[in-house]
Amino acid sequence: MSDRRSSEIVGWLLKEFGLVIMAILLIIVFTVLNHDFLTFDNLISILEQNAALAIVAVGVTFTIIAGQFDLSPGSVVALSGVVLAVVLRGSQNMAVALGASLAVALACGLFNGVLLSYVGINSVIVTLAAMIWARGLALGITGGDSLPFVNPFIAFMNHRSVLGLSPIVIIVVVSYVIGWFMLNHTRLGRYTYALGGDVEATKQAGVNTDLSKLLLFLLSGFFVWLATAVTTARMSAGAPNAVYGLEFDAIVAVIIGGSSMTGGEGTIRKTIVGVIFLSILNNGLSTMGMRDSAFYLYKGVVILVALLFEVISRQALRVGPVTAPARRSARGAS
Amino acid sequence: MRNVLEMRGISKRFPGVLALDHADLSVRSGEIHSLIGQNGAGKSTMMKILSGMYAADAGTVTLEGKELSFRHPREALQKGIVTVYQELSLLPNLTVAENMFLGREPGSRLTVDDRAIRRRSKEIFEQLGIEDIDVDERISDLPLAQRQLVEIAKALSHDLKVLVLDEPTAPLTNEDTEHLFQILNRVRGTGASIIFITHRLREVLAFCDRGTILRNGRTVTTVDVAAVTENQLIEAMIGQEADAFYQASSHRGAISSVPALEVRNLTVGTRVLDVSFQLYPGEIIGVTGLLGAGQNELLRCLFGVLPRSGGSVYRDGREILIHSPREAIDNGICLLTENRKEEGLIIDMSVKENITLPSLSSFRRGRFLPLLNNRRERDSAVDFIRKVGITLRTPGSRMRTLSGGNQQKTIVARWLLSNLDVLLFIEPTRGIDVGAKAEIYRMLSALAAEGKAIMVVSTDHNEILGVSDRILVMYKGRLSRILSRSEAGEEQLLSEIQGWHKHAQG
Amino acid sequence: MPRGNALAQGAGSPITMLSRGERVRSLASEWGIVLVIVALGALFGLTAPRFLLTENIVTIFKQISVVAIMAIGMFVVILVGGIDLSVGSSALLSAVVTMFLLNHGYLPTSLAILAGIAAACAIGLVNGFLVESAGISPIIVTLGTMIAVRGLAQTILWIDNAWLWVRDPAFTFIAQKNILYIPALVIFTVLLYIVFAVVLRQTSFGRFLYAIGGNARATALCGVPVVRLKTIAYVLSGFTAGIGGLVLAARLSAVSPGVGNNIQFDVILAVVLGGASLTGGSGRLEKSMLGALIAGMILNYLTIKGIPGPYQTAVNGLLILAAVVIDRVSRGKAE
Repeated sequence: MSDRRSSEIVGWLLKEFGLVIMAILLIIVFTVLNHDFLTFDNLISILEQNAALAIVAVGVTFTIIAGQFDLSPGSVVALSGVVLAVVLRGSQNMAVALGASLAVALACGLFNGVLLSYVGINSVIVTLAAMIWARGLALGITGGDSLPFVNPFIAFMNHRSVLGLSPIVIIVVVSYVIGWFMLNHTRLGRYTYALGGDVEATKQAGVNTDLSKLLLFLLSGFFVWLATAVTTARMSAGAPNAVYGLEFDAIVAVIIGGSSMTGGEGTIRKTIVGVIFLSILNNGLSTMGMRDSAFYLYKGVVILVALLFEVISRQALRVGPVTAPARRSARGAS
Repeated sequence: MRNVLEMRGISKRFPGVLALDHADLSVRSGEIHSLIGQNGAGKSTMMKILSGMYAADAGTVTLEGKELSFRHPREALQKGIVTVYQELSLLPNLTVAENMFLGREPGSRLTVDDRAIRRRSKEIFEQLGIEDIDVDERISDLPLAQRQLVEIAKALSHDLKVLVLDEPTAPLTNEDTEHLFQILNRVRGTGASIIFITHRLREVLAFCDRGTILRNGRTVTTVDVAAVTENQLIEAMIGQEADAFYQASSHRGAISSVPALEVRNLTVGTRVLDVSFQLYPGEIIGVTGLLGAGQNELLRCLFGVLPRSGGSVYRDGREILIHSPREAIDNGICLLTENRKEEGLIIDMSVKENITLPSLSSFRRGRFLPLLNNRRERDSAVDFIRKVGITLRTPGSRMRTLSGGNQQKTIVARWLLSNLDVLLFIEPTRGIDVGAKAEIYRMLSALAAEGKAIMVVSTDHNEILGVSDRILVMYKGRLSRILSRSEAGEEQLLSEIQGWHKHAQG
Repeated sequence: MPRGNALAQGAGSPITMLSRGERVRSLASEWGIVLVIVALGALFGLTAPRFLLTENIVTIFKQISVVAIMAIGMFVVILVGGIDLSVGSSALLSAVVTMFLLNHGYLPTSLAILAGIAAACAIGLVNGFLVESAGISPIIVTLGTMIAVRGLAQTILWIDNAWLWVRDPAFTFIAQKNILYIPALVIFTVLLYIVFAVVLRQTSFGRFLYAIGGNARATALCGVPVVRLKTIAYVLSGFTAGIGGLVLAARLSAVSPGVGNNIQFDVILAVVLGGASLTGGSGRLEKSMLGALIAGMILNYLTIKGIPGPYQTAVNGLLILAAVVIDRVSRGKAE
């Protein structure tokens, strides 16, 4: 029994503070390598650079808690960003362009949502396909080039006008407030947890599970749109190659933050920790002036260590009771 | 009194089995109506149709004179038909209060009012006289019996017309059961009807007003409980004299003095504590107890699925260490679990492939040629298909096309082909129809006569009494008593299972 | 089907073979994909006469060979209920390692090839370990290795600050030569398929893989070492990815940082079009090759029709969806 308790305590410590400790270690390393690392300006820059990741991670938190995967955000950001640029060049009206990109982001969410809830296809496949076709469309529309544009919107978004914070940072903060409120105080939030716990039981309780899944992916589409606005403003262009690998970063941020990979558990707070960790990593590595290839290599290794950490702490917590009551089959008797 | 609910001519077919065949049920307002039948008689299917989980192939359901057809369980709930399933439907990752109001949270269209949820949950528990449940606790942290109470409280919090309880008392102690019926009587006082599924006939006789008996998917009769005896109910359920069903065994009990399996002081975590017994060749030992008394974990540990935390196991007098199913099989031990679908069948493979799976290595063409000898494999499979009497068209038929009974026989054939001597069964007849059940009993007996050593875990007392040479009764993880066939009566078995003698001793 | 009276018949009922009509019908549903290929061929041939020229057909077969080879390992991983997104990066790694060793003269051809394939297998082993032993979801693991391994391979590539050129005769042979008028590459691919098809259908190893995909828990309770076999499945995926990378290098005569980028999607598409269920446990390996052929035909046709490459990628994504939806709908009807 004492063995079990000590391993539980270690597991709990690792789980609650492991990532924070690793983040502090990273900060120390990067501060030693770059003395300007730990300044207010640089920290805000880090946040701005990783704004798209931070925003998309909110939507991904929902889908992961619900036990679904969403691999499409990166490609949809690229597609709706390209559409934004094309419409803006045509209409010279930023509001129309933003509206068009919102429509594209929501349409992609709707399309994915319908396929995975009403048609009943695995979310991995649906969103993997979307990851491919949306990127393909984005590249096809532009012929592979970026579409730069000039608009007051760009200056507005990037100017640190409010208390030294730019609208980009404010959008990030607002996203988390929306996400926190939706997850903790709305029906959809409650059903998100329920779906991740057991879909059949949720259905039995009278919840319209198909509609809930669809709404989740629409919500995710909304956050994707916010990320698009931020990304295009930072690049002053609609770039078909933008935010390559964003979906991976977002999923990893949510999971190393401590939300369960299999759904049913997770909080916005955990996602924030994960996003901060990954943002520091991204920024720290890229300011060290290494090639992309080495960047990905180091990043992959650090992420892997963080993931293993998370898994080990989970398993340490699980030592003890050897059985769970036999769970019902997830699908029932369809 | 008028009928509040009428189900007429209900039929439902699943691949390989006709679950319901023009079954009828009528329930009066304000009564506790028992639905009685063997496993596989169609009780659960009937109730799943009532609650909107399944659509019937034929038949009508009318509630208060209006015909209903549900496309979704939600619609049944809205009409006031609330079901508490045998398998609990609470979400382990949510709190008690969150579960109570899942799907009908108070609040605005968008938001939920958590304070109201917690307040109203507390009120409901107070009304029911349940004091020791914290509404903020996560379900995963509650013990099974408390989850059951939450489940029932949740059902009672609806605006009820008909409450369906699918074997709610199975995991409960006698006091809890009495308590439950006090609560149900209060519910009945409000004019709601209760449909109560059980196979504990004593409860039917003690607490219910009327009963409808199902057999093989058909309605046999509806009776006033006050006017029938237990034996009459049993005969109606089984369709023959009660004693004849389990067949006088053809085997004679132990045929060797060296135990095939000896267990000394076995402990598995906190689920099985200090259990010792011997199992002899030619013998069938029945293991029973309340749900979760440790009987399943005991067998799972013997098969290497659960780790042993203490004690030792001997096979033919030699100590063995088993850490995995592979090692158990190598020592001649096999296990059939209660979850046929999840842990037994590979539903999209053929019957032949399912049977030969554990013994594939014996069908190699040669020692250094790893290719399979298909003809030999097929011939062996056909041999054992005949031996256990599986009805099918070809050995290449997919598992999913077979009925529950034939699927179960396939798994038995799988282990017989592997030629193992110690057969462990957990709930071998769960969810299969009566005819196949009788065949399984015959087969168990025949296997014992061949000298196999067999253990059967079951919560069905009649089954245990019918097939066992000796009966191990478990209570809260401990072996509370070993009864021999001659001394075991239903009366005594029940009191052992409930742990009554423990109370007597203090 | 004697469903209703199944019990009445009892033991000793005759066990028969399927009638001829039934066999024809099941054959038709199994191999309907061949009809699809013929129909597509006819359609494309009519609307773009160039499509059916011998020269073009040979080109298609050579084009699909890399994807088809890599689809073997992907099929095995999907068969056991996993997925491997890292195969494109493993392919690059194997090509880089082999060419690096060859061009610097560190190892003879055969050993360099083995080293490259071994490197790709090692990535498969890492994937398998992280998925099966550490319990991380295969999507996350293989997305991670996809990014990290590309970084690793490119880092090696940067040691020489240049692309690696492929000059070894073994590679030019496999990429360019014919044997009896048939490209060596196509023969090699078909041989690989034959070997793996026999392993999957005629050995206990193969049978276990199908069983694991059908119901891993039940298979484990039959005493099969499920974790080990599933790990091996990922190693096999690395193995064929490694071979695919070498063949790709041979066809391109050079290894650039972009080799094999996004090829994992074509590979998954081939397996899905070949009818393998993504939940695992069913499908035929041979049909993955036909799936690759269908995808290759469509892309070749789009190229002839002048549709730009990115749109072809988009079509790939939609084809995956179409295949899964059709599968889903036809299954829904069957049950």
